[in-house]
Amino acid sequence: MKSCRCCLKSLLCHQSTPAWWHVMPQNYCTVREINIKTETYQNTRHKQQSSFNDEEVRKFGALSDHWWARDGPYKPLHSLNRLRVPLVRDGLISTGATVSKDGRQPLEGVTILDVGCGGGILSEPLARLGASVTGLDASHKSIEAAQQHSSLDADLQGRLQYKCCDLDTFSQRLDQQYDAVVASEVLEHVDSIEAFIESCNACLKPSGSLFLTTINRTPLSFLGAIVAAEYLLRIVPVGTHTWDKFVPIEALKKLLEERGLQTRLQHGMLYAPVLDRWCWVADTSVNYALHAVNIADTSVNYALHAVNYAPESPMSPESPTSSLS
Amino acid sequence: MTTKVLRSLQVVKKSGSLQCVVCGSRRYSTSTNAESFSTNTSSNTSSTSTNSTNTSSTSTYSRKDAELFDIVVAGGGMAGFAMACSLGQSKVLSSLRVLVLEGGPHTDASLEALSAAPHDNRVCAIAPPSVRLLDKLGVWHDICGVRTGPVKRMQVWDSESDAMIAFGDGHRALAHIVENRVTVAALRARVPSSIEVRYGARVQSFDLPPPATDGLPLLTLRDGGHIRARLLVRGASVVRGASVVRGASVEHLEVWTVCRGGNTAARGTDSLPWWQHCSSRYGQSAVVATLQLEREENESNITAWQKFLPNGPLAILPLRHGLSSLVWTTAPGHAQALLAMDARSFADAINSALWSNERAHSAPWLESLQRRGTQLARDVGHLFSSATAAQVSSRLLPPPVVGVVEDSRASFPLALNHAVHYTANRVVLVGDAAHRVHPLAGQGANLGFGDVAALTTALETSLLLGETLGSASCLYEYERIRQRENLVMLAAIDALQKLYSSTAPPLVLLRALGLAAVDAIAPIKEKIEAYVQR
Repeated sequence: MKSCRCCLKSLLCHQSTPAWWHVMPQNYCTVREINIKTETYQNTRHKQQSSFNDEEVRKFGALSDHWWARDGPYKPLHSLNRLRVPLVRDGLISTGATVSKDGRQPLEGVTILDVGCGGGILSEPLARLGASVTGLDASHKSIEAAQQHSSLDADLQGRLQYKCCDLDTFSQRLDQQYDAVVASEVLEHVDSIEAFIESCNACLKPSGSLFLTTINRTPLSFLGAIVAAEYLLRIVPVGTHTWDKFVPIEALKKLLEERGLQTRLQHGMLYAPVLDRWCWVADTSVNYALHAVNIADTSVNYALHAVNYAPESPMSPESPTSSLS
Repeated sequence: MTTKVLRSLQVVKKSGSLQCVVCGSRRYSTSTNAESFSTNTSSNTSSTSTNSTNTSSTSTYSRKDAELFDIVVAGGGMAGFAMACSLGQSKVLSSLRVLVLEGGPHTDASLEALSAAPHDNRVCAIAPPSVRLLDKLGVWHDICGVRTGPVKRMQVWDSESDAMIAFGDGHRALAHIVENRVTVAALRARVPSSIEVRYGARVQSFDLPPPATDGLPLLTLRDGGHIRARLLVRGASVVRGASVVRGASVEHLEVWTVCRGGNTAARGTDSLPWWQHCSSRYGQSAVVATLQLEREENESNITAWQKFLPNGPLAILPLRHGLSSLVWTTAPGHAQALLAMDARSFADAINSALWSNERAHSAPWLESLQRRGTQLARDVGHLFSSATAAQVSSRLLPPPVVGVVEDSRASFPLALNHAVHYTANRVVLVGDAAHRVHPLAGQGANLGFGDVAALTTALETSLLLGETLGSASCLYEYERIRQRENLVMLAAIDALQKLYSSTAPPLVLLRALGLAAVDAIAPIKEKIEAYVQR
């Protein structure tokens, strides 16, 4: 058991909501201890084999009436669509998953699995862009709210379906694999990242894309995502996030690499609370987005720039510039 | 953020005569807001009682016989037809079902017939950004094929002082003077066949859903038809063209009734009534006419002249060699007198107004101060200019007016009008429906074209983000971008109008020095030209 030289507490000792005096000194570790941190982090989360957490599911089920309230607790998730819809749309166009030339529905013919879809905030826009979307969530109430909202729009019929199931069970009973799996703002709520990534990978077709958005585990993210967002500015309800469960980006990329998922793009995101706007930033210390491609079929590496994506597909100004890991 | 601040400033503005346009026959129940404005009580107050709204409004959303369209453009005109062309041309938006409702009759006037007809008296100055939009729509080439009057030089001067400013080098076009009916006809011809255009369709009432609900706007036409729209774009100008025989002044104020739908419980949740406008009447009328100028062999008619008189500016805009359009803003009484004169006296009146050196207040000390100030401005200008020769614009005299084209004189009232909100739930205003400005800067049509371009971009971005058509965030983006530009222009034009409407010596001195400074200091002038050309 390694102990951080900045504080006397062991690195393995963690509470579900760490007290600040326990957390802060721990992260004044020097750079060479980051590897130890990553390894220890993996060991701790590895203990739980399932990605499913009852308590987290109940937390979101309690707020299921507010999924679609524009000024409700999920307001930042609605405005986050401005970044994550172009992320998925342009990512799929660049990997050649879509051959559609229709200007209005660039994702026609693409199958997407939205893991932890909640009320369907991300599933609905992707379905409107032409994709065939399956929304998955373990909370009954959230799925009910999602189904009820999607029934209001006739454009979504036949393209959007919801399933109330946890990911592990779903991945074992798969009837089809998907072109893309999207897990947005989910990773920081699961118990076992490894099991989660494995299940996601099982749902992916070879050369399919995995899109993740989550929060990094740094001192800045503690200040930003816990202290500022929950206590000071009240952007999200207190207790939504647990700093321990935040996912360091390097550890995540290493995990993905081991499972045959090559990171194609990583970029930070920043939220401006008063304006209710998100924007892309280079720094991944707090929120970040990641696009990884399943490279089990290695020929996709070289076909990246020769694919027949729609030439007029607009690359939105909100799309981040690619940065290979 | 800036838009919210500006909007709140408009609400609390107390100067001038604020008029809250309480639209239609049904009054809003938010009485607190109605108190702070003087409501237009003459024709628009609820003659029908509010009781009737409850019974009729709840049934209108469930009308099964209403036709459903994705986008309905209510009102033709330049902004409306430009919107239709823009929607038809966009790859993302061309698959939507669009309907254009035009109140006027369908005219068979082709562009060839228009080029043979005499010039119309209603013209617009089309600035380079609007030229780019029209070019993108494929319309500009057609318009140039008919006729345009390029403005390659512009001279603006003041009757109360010697100050003047000139733009343009005589080679590059600063703007183009195009007749309104040519622009509209060219746009009409380019509307794609996938978009339905209905002529003679006058809307009797609009039933709009309350904010943050899922209802759709319902339009009731005068012939009894009903139309539902996912997005309603309102684009027609409030004042129609003034092409009537001389001696008559025209005031076609299109009063369109807006019904506020929804149940009573939802009504009180709004803090501001929709379609609230900030408006003030200038107390001026504009006289328009087509003038015949003295033809000079070696000079072409490429200069726009504008002289600020005590009652308002007089502008001569070039149409073609020997022909120009007049826009004379003056007091309503004087406007009536001008319309009543015969052609000879009218031409003399224009000539004397342009050439006279009479001043309302003339004092030697004022003139010497002006001269010194102008000289100082020129010296400062030399610091910025690399050439040793003076970069001062030479003052030219406009060519004399020799005649007026028959039946081309008309007048219309002027007002400043700006909608506090450009958007509501599934409704958006473009063009003159959102703002009306003073013609002294010739920007009315250009702001409308800017609105069309911005709305098209906002809709494209929104649809590619997978949002529903007419979603609140998309419309808010459009409003934010356009209000930021339009309010600046409106404020500047209004300030100029107020500055030049006074003959008090201190103000005259101030504006004379200001004009001389802008003319002499090259960087400022370049910035203004760049802003207009952006």
